[in-house]
Amino acid sequence: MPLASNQTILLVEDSPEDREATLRAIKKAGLSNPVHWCDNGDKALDYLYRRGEFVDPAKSPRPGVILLDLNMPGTDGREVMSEVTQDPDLKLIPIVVLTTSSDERDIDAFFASGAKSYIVKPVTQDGILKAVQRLESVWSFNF
Amino acid sequence: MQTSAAVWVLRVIVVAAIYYAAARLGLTWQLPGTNASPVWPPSGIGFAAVMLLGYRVCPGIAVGAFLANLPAAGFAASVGICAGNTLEQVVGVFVLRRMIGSRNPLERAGDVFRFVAAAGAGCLLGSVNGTANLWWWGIVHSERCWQAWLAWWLGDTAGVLILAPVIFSLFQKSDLVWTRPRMLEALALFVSLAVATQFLFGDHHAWLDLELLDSLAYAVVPGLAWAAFRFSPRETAFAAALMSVIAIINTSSGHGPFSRSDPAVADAASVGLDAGSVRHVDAQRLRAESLLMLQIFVIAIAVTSATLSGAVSERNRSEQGLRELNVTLEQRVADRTAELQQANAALERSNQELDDFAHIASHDLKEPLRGINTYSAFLLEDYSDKLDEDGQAKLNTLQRLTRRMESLIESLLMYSRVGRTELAVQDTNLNETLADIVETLEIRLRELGVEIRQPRPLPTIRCDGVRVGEIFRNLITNAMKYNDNPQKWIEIGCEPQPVNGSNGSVMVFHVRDNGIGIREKHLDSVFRIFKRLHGRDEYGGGTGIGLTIVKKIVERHGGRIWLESKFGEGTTFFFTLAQG
Repeated sequence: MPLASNQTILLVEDSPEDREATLRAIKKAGLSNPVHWCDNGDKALDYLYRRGEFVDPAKSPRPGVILLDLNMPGTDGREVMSEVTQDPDLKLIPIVVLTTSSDERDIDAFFASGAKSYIVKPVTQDGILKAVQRLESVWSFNF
Repeated sequence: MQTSAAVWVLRVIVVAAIYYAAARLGLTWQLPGTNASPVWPPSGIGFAAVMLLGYRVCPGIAVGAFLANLPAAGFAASVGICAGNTLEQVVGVFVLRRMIGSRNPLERAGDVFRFVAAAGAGCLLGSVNGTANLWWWGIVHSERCWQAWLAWWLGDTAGVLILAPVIFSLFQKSDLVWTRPRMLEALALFVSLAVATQFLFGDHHAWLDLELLDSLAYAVVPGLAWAAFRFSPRETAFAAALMSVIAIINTSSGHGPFSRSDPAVADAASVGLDAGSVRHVDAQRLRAESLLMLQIFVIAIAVTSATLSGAVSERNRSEQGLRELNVTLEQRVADRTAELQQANAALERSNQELDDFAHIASHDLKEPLRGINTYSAFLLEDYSDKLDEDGQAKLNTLQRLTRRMESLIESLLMYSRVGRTELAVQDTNLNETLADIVETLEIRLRELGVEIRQPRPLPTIRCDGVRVGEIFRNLITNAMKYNDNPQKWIEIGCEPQPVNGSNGSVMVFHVRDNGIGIREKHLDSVFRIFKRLHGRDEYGGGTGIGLTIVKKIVERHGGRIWLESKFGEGTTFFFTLAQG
């Protein structure tokens, strides 16, 4: 299930600069998908569960992919990942971890806890393309 | 010790009474017509009294000696003798105290010898003085002086050596614990020693006519050795005294190995002397001579057993000391272990804090840096048409510096991670590990035209494959970076090497290149963190942490890393991944 062009990308990232870089990279990669940005984990979960300001399903379409920063104030990315991967509906949404660590151990740990791909920050056009590529190979492998 | 006058008087009277009684007993064994006896228990009593009660009891000895000698020696000679006998004890104890102080003379082999020397010296004084008095006052003829002196000296010395330890040790504390088995053993010891001595020294001819038994006096020695090894010096002194008393009683009634037979009496009768009186006098003389011989034996046995017992108790004490030391040592080890555990816990806590710090460094320090980098990139992308060449160059420099800063932070982080995290040790085929690493480097290797050589396959060993891969990656990257040779090659191999002082061997891995080499003076500093030997942008740059991380990984595996290099010819890094 490759990413369809109308599917929302949910970007969970606390740093505005990183958000800017990611948005620019997405655009440069030629993806025209709408991007919804949450600056912390609580907001991301509200969005996914359609709670609070996101009660209206029209305002909170199911994302086709979640780009998830791990280190955030409040509810951090690991908690978001663990909730999403345990939810029968949400676990179908692939998670791409945005990480500052390129250590193999950490990356293995991301995959073990349910991530489908990762991008080492700063997010670049190249990083986005590779991650999406990997997602597609995972999907084609699964189905 | 301060004692009241009444106590002192009482002590003097008691000592005088005992001394007098013992002296009268001793005189019954005297050499006829000499007033000198080979058996002289009062010397032991006097010696022990002075040792236990001090020099202040001397008047008791003097009175006892005077009264005992008075009937046979007369007033004048008795005064002289009693002065000598008293001086004998005083000098003996004084010499002993000078040598060993106030400690128990029976508890060390060396002290026993000093005790014997002191007793012998004191008694020499007493015996010379006594014999001189006897001669001076005409009680002993000149020709018998020699014999009288010998009997006196040996008798007094034996008295001190046999009796003083018994009396003295009665008033000393003993470490011996009297359990029931030990009491039974003591009973068995004393009964069997008494029976054996009686058998060897007594009248056995009536029922066992065996001449050889007369030469078996030394057979009492094992009994005394028994006492010395199994009991304290006190029991040994008692055993020696018991043996002596039985031997003396038997010998004085004409039995045992030291008893002289009658030919001399027959000789005396043959020259026409009055058989009756000659027989009486000569029997008494023979008896005294026998006892004299016996005393030499008794002294030898007493000294031997006391020495043995002293040595044994010395050994027991040092064993005890060693045991106590052992216990305190164990305690100290336990204390130290607890301390170390505490320190370890503290270290773990501080490691945790370091871990947290590393996280902060990775996230919070890198985030703004990434922002600077991203935004300078945005500037370059969005405003390149508005910036002149100089402005663009400066922005590029800014980007380069932020990237450098980020890689420094990243490598510091990696270094701390290698030290902190547990190794994931498992059986690892190093050929696969190496192949993976070479594959990731393949593009650069091809660009630089580096040939990878592997003369023999690498083994499968237990290690953390990911970390060992880092070792290969760093060493290979260095080898290809620092190489000017037109025909570049890197050789990765291994060789088992014997371990010094054992039969085992350890696998030594190597990464060899034909690169630029390292000057000898820099060989030591290549592993230092952030130490670079070349300019920042020469040889592809780098943070200077790669070898530091490599060394850390090797050491975490319990291994060792070293290098050989020839400047201008190439470098070989060697490392092991296990102790050896």
